[in-house]
Amino acid sequence: MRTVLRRLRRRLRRRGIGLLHVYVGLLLLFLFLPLAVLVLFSFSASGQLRFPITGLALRWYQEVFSSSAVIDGILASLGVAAVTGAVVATVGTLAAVAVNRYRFRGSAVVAGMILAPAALPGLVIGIALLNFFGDIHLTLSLLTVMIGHVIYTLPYFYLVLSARLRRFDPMLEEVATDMGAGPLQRFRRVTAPLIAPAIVASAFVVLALSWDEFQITFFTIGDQSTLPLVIWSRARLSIDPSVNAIGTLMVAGSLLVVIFTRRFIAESYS
Amino acid sequence: MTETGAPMAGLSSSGVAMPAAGTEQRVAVRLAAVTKRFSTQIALHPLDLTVSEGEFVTLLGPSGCGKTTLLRIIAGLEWPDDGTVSIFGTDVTDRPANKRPVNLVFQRVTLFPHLTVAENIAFGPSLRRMKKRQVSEKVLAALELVRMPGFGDRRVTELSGGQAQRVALARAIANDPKVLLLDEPLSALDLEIRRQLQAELKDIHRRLGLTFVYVTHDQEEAMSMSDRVVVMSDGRIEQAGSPVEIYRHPRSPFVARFLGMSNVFEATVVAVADGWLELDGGSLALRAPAPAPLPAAGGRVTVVIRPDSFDVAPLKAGENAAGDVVGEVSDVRFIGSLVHYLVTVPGRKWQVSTRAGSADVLAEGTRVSLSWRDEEVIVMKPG
Repeated sequence: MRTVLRRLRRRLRRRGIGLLHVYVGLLLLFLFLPLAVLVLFSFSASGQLRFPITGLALRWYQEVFSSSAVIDGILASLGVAAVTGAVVATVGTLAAVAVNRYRFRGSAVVAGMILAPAALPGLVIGIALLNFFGDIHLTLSLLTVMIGHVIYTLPYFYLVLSARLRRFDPMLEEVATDMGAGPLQRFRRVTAPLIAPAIVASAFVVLALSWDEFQITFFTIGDQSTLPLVIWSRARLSIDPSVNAIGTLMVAGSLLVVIFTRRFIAESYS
Repeated sequence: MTETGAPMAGLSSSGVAMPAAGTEQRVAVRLAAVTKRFSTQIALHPLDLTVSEGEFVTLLGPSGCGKTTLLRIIAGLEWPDDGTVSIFGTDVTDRPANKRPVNLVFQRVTLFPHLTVAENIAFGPSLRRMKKRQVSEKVLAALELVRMPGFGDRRVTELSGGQAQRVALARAIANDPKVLLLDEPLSALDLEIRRQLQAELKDIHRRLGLTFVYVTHDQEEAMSMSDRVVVMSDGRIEQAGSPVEIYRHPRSPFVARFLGMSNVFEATVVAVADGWLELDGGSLALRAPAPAPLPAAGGRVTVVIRPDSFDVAPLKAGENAAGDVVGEVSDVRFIGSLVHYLVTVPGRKWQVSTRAGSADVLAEGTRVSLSWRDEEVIVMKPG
């Protein structure tokens, strides 16, 4: 066994491939094979989720786009994500700047409370919110979903932006002041432009998180469904191949966000 | 908007005309009883300092002596616990940094990374309501001044350390400060670039006639650039004077040591006569010009002999020079124009510098006779 392994290793090394490459390759395969299968079956001509695939077709995509439930779900998810992103970007930026740049009483408590939802199971947040909304007689709707998403995504935004702010040279603000800039001018002309790329990048993380959030949404949703809930209700009834098509669309959307974010960060200075 | 110093017409006609002969020089910066504490530590003891218009004043001292704090107090980036700061007669103690007619060049590179070189320099002028064309004229003039014409469109991340500090200097000057503050702006640069920029800074000072307050821990830099050097230690001013004055007449052992004179020792005054002191330095009897105020006979004083006050001559084997100090060379450092020797005599080490010239450089272990010029021996109160 050992000699076999050694021989294999030697042969791989001759081609410039180490065992690490093999290991990483297997890991990536494990991660992405299910996704590949999903994408593949979304183009399958038959309704059977079984190999070999008998033909390729776009019929599931046609079905998806002719379903008003799916279209509504996509629109609802986009709307929730957009509003969540905007709210979190505003609140999160103010909070991160406040906690990281100023010393004030209870700043550690504030930071802890912002971060806590990241440590709580979504299930717990969902149930807690459901009870809370009931207590204050707030009818469940996309608004309550947005509130849930803001609480859930704020920690991630806050963490990314805090990391950027810690690398921020406070002397740049001193220079701005020294050059005659008041507090508002200083923020507008120095601080904001410098942290803007980080704000945009973290906002995209929020969009991606909100876009496919299920647990909290499940407890706080009203009459309208978001896309993950549409998928869930379909998959629950029967294994419908159109779910594969929706899944592929979601993967494509997330990929676009990731690519855009990376490009955006690469093009901006750090 | 309070007026933060009327913008000057241009860099060339900086408006800060040197005062005519005979008229009293205006005071640019006046610090009165300025005090600063950081929690329990005292950074500055009550301290007074006056800087005249057009003067190049350097605050010199080891790190932690309070020189940077003092500079930041003038800039308004630090608040004094007590005392007042005034600039050209106006009390600015309670004015924030953005409302003071001074600008600071920092030790580290502090260019705005999201702006180009030109945009960095235009930062100050563009904050005020100034016409675009006027701003760009200012930028061009400032780039010209720091010898970086054509660099306006560069990204600041592409600049070398020396170039970055030039741009930082241009940015400060383009803001038309009435006083320019410089906090060790060259300390992070290579020796060669540092030398070059020292010369250019001095040249810029001369051409603009602007008041400079410079901070450094490098005594050579301080001496070579300044009209006046203010030596600081532990939040106090030890001595202030022209470079020649403080070098020739250091008033405390600290100043003497900080300026590189390590031959500092205590002695007793034996006699005072005809403007000369007879001193007993333990194993050594010496003469020195009497300082003012005159120390009493029998009193203790500190004596300093500068390394360059010595003459050193090698002795042949068995030879003994009568009356001179005889010792042995225990360390040799040849630095080109000068040779630094450490000469050990029983119970004492002397630091000696001689002009290298064309004489032989003495080897370690050489027996030498040491003599010094009596008129260059410095006597001060014991520290």
